[in-house]
Amino acid sequence: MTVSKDIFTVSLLTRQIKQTLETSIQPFWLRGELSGVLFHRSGHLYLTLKDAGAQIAGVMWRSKVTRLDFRPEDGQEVLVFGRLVVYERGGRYQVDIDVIQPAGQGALALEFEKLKARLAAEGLFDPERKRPIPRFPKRIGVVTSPTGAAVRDILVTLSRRGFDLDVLLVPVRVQGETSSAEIANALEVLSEMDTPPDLLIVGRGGGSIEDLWAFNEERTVRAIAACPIPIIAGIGHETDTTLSDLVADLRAPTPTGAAELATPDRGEILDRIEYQGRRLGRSMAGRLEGVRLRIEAAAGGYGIRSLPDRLMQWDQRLDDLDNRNRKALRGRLERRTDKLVALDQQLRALSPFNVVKRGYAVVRKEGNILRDVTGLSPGDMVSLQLAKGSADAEIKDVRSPHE
Amino acid sequence: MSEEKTSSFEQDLARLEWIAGQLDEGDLDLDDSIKLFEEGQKLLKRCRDKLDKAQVKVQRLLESGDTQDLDPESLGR
Repeated sequence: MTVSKDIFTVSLLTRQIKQTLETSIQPFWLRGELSGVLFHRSGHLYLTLKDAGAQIAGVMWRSKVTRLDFRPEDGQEVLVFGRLVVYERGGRYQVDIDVIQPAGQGALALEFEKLKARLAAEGLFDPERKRPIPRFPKRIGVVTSPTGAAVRDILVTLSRRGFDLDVLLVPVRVQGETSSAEIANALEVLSEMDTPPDLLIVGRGGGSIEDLWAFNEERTVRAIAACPIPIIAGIGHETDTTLSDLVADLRAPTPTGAAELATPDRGEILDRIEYQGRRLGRSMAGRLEGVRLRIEAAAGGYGIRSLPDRLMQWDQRLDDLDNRNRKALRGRLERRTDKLVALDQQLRALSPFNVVKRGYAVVRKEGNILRDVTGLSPGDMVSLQLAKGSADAEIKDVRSPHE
Repeated sequence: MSEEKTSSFEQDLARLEWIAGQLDEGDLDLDDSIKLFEEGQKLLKRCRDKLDKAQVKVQRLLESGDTQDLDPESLGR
């Protein structure tokens, strides 16, 4: 007896069904009512999805079940994302589920993903579109609800950190149907002011995806993209990402974070300024020292007291500068003692009054100060001027720096 | 938006840093050094003054387009 090629085996047929179904039906979102929800001992989740006319089995594997952020129950309307698979041993087809969401929330999530993909395709979220945030804004516009913790967090943080800064609050509703229009309008009003802010903060406290929805609406996102002023977004908590966050020039994890990113740290800036002040004093002292040596040379080593008035006054001014530095830094002396003492000593050591006291000698040949050995040969006579007294010496050997 | 007004602190600080660098390394004669030093001192004072002026003025925009002073601490309570 021969077996015709036209007669399938069960396995072969099932495999063909499996291939046909699994390749022709792409992964999909599916809406339905849950029934027969079973959390198996193995950790896998078995369920049936049904509507008025049909039902289909579904399974979610353990690794995905552990990531579920709600507990599915019979009777719930849900959205699932998954793909169709054929279970050959059981002769059944079922949905291999990646994601389950309550239907309401799921619908928003779908809308979110669709809009996100569309706006991303337009390039709205491209890094190249991001405008630089001014490091020292003088005027910050804050667009948020006038009630609630967010506005207070933002304004208190700005007041604490900012300096020489104006803050302008534009109250808007951050939830509800009018919200996106109010936010868009606020951004427009701010950018059209006579003296527009140089930086904006758009913020809102935490909430559910529905609460934050105004910040996922196309109108809001486009208004932020179109606004000529750089915008920092601080919406919800760290884990919430809205499309407004993505389109903003800078994204902060929270409203407080947005206010922090908007303002430079005063302490840090003060450090920078005082550092420049010390540098200025040190450098000038160094230059005056050079000039002093030249004057002394010209005056034939007459000494420090004979310096022209102008230089004496400069010494005084440098000392004043030093005092002001130390006064400004007194508050931080405790944690910076070592560094400051070193800098202070350095500044003092460089003071023109101390140049010779430090143990240097001014070496002259025929009244001219020597800076290198050019023109110097064994047997030449030179004079050494020390802090106290002077001496004559004879050159025994000359070594140029290249030897 | 006036460039001068919005970034003057930043410009002052940048100029101050440049001057300090010139005095440190630049090949300047005494007169130029003194000129730069004096300018640096002025910038230093201006930057310090701005930092000292720590108050932040907070206002609220009204529907009329006018503004009204606001105390942040009083909000959201």
